[in-house]
Amino acid sequence: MTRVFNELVAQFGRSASLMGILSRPTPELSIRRPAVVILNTGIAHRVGHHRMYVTMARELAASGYLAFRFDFSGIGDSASRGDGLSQLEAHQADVSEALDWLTASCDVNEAVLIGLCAGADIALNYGHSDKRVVGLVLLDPTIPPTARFYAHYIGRRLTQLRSWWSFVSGRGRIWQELSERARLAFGAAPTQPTSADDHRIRSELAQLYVKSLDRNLKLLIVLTGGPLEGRQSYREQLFEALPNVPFRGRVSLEHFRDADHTFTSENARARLQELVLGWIKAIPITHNPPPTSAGDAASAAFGERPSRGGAPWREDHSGG
Amino acid sequence: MTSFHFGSRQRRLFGYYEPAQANFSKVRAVLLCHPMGNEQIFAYRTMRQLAARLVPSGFHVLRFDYFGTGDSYGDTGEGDLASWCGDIETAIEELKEITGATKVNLAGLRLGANLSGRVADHRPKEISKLILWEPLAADELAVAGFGCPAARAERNLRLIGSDIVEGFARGAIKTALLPSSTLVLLTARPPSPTEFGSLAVEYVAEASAWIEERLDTGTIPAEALQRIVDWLQ
Repeated sequence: MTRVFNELVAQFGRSASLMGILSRPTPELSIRRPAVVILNTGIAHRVGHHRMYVTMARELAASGYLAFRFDFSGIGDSASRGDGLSQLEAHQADVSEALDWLTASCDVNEAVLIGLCAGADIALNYGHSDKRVVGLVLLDPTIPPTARFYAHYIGRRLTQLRSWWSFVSGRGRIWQELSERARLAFGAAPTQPTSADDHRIRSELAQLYVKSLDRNLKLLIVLTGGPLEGRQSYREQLFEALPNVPFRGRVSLEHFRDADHTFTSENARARLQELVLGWIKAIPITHNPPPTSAGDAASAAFGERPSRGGAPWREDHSGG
Repeated sequence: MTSFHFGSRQRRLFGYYEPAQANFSKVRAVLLCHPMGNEQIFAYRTMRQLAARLVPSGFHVLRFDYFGTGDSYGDTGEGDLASWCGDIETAIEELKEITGATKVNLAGLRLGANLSGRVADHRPKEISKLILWEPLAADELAVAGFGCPAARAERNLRLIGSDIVEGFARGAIKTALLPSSTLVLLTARPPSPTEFGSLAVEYVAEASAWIEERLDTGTIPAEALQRIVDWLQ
């Protein structure tokens, strides 16, 4: 089969310690904007669960977009930064350096960040601060629980015999949640850090969403139906958990009821791919013109087969 | 460290090469063979840490992704047991070409162990030492392409009990013609007494290549990795 993309390996960043792979259309195709940057999920490396980020990047490239998958410092094949930054600060700096590399190598001035779970939270944290970011695709971002979530959660757990035993014996999350809420209802101080942090997390998330909307970032939020221990149980949970954020009419929100958190189902991944591609195509681009073709983009610093003497980087034009 | 693509135009593979840090008169090289599917994701940190321990001990190390897996070209689910063995042979040639080594060491985890064993059986003159870390039994092998498209998974299920799978499976290892310096490393459960014939077998308890519940902690099985480095020394 003739492929309509090729891939380049890039070592980049302040000390060339970050590693990423750029998927791009073959040189005869024009490059479309924006570029897409795909972030790690937790400590899983740039390939993603079920190889979903490889497939996503290649399909985006086949449709004319530059798609860059990279490893945060200390994850996959990227070295730790060693500059004393906290993990959150380091990830923010990593995203910034990935965009710097795309700007310098491929003339990218508009990009969409895609992240799942922790990757979504990092995208939300970073996106509003960089004018090159024009949109965010947040897959199962952190959503605080709501009363309706607890009702769903408890209802589902109580249908399980094992949960009944945990409940009756005073163990398990249901018991802890109910007893904690009963304590709080009677004016006791919270005993668990999660309860104590709840207000702060809601406040921070609300601020991040407001900043993103104030910057007119396009937001696509995809929630999975999730397993029993999921972060959300219904489509509107985000709106109810953060009632002061003017989401309505300003974000695209999709609920994949039958998908699990890592999109194990091939059908769910295909549906997600189609959704993301259609959403990106609809983003209006207003800035500088792109490179005329994929052949003009990315002219330096790409993976070369090592020789016995060294000389590391080369562009791979094979296209597979 | 160098990341690059290699192999034929039709079968481009992704590799990650790290040169030896210590100077030794004899060139020593190790090819690491990943497990498959999500197991590759789960074990990636462990394999990278294994490479990081081998390099200062004087080994050139190449990690790579089979066709249709990881960062290599090819659609997910493309390929089969025989063609992935061919990928290992391609990677062996690449590693020899890069380093000038005449023989290489192979270390394979899970499905990577089964495939490494088969390659070593077919190319004994090119393999110096062999590590087989938790090779898969026949029933596990048939569904090893977890994450592959459903149609392929069903086809794999039909392979259970077939000669193809039996020939690659853990049960076939004791009858294969493997290098005399072969170590079967088990970390899930001890072997049965005669399972691997006369091959050297070591059991390192509680040293699985990954623990799914602890993936976010980045835990690695340090004792098992050190045992591999020691064996290859």
